[in-house]
Amino acid sequence: MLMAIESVLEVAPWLGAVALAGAALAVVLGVVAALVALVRPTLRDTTRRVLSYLPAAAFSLFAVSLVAAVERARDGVIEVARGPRALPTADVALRFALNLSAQLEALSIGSILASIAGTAVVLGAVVPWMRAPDVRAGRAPLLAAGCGAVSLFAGVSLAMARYCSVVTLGFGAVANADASSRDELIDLALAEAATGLASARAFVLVVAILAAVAAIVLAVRAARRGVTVRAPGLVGAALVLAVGAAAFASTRAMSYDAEHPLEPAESSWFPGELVAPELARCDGASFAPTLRWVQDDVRLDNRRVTPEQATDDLVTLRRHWGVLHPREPFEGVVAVEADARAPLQEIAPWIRAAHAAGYSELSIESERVSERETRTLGTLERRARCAVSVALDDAGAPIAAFATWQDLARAAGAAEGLRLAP
Amino acid sequence: MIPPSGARRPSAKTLGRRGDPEHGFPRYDARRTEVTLSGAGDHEPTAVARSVAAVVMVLGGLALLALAALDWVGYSRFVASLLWR
Repeated sequence: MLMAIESVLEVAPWLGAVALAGAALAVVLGVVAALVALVRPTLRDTTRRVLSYLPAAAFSLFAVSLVAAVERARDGVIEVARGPRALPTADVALRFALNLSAQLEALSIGSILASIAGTAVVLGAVVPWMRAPDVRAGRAPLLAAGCGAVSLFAGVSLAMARYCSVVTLGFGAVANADASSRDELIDLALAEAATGLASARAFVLVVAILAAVAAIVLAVRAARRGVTVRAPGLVGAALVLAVGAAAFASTRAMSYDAEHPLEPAESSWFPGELVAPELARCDGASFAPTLRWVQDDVRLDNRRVTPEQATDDLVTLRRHWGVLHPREPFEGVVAVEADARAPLQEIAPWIRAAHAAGYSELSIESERVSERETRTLGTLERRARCAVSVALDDAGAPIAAFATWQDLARAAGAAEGLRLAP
Repeated sequence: MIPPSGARRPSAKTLGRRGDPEHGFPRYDARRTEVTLSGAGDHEPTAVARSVAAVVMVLGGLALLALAALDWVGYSRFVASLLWR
């Protein structure tokens, strides 16, 4: 997992630098091509081709590097998210969010660069051909198609830039937000960004239709004057259509998944080294100090404790709760993550410690595994938090009545309001 | 092609006979009914249809490419949902 993080952090900046160089080169070459064509209208065919293709080649370098950088960042996120366990700590998730948002920020700047570089490339490609005497007569359709292409390019690039900046802003807020409001903030940022993309799609269709109508009218007029497209031109146009259709077809799965993101669900942080107890039902989640019980290593909120230390710490946490949340009642819940096979007698000292500190409820933590079909990643295994409550009450069932942690979990799941006498 | 210094540019009559392909003036050929960019008449419906098809294909291809690019960027929405959910 760490390898995935490191490789993303290492590779992405290099690709970003290559992309930047490609964009700068495309702009320079595009402008040079356009200027040369303006100053020297009668160019050799070879020179004209070189002038037209060089900026486009530089732009391809830019586009491919940028796409590769973003793809690499996404792969890293997907690799971690689909790893054997859920993300180990909230910090890693946050680090990744910031990494993804940095990539999107780069894409946002890249998109603005793309609109400039793309315009330069189209200018560099169109101007040398338009200035050629043999094309002059039929330049109107070329000009209409060129204007359409520039509009499409600029519109898409700016929409991409806006999408990325909205997501980046949203993620920036997420980094500083309370864990409980993260989902809501992410939803807001992504929904806002998706609205922008929907308008961009409408823009693309309108521009394409307008440009096509204008170009068709002009092409018909030019054809009547005898200036028509010859076989190589037709093949080139078919090639553009084929590339567009292939790109569109290849992004259908992405489009579907983007429209169906994973639903909000509480992520499970249940430790991978433990066997999660099977629960017949899941109670509502509550924010509580977490006692993680692994033989010889018992931790309260990730700090190793003995039963005595656990009592002291829980008393302190209870006091802090009163100070930090003066208007909210103290619920007195301790969440316990323990191996399903663990003998209950071995966990009992910590249960008593919680009771002694004034806590009246145990939350038996587990996770519920479900499957979710996606079109790009196949079947995803989802682990959501699941827990049931047991009241700590001297009049409840004795600890000795349950052999293992799983036995207690099963009883708590079967009967709501189970009481346990510590 | 730039003519050498002092060279005379061929007359229109000469050009009409042997053409000047370097500057886009093909040789005149009365039998040729195919398209010539010099404007020799090509009024056939197929030639017009070919021009229209080319324009539509180019703009259609570019529009599809633009839509694909937007969908590619929008996929980040799904990737982000993997992180916390």
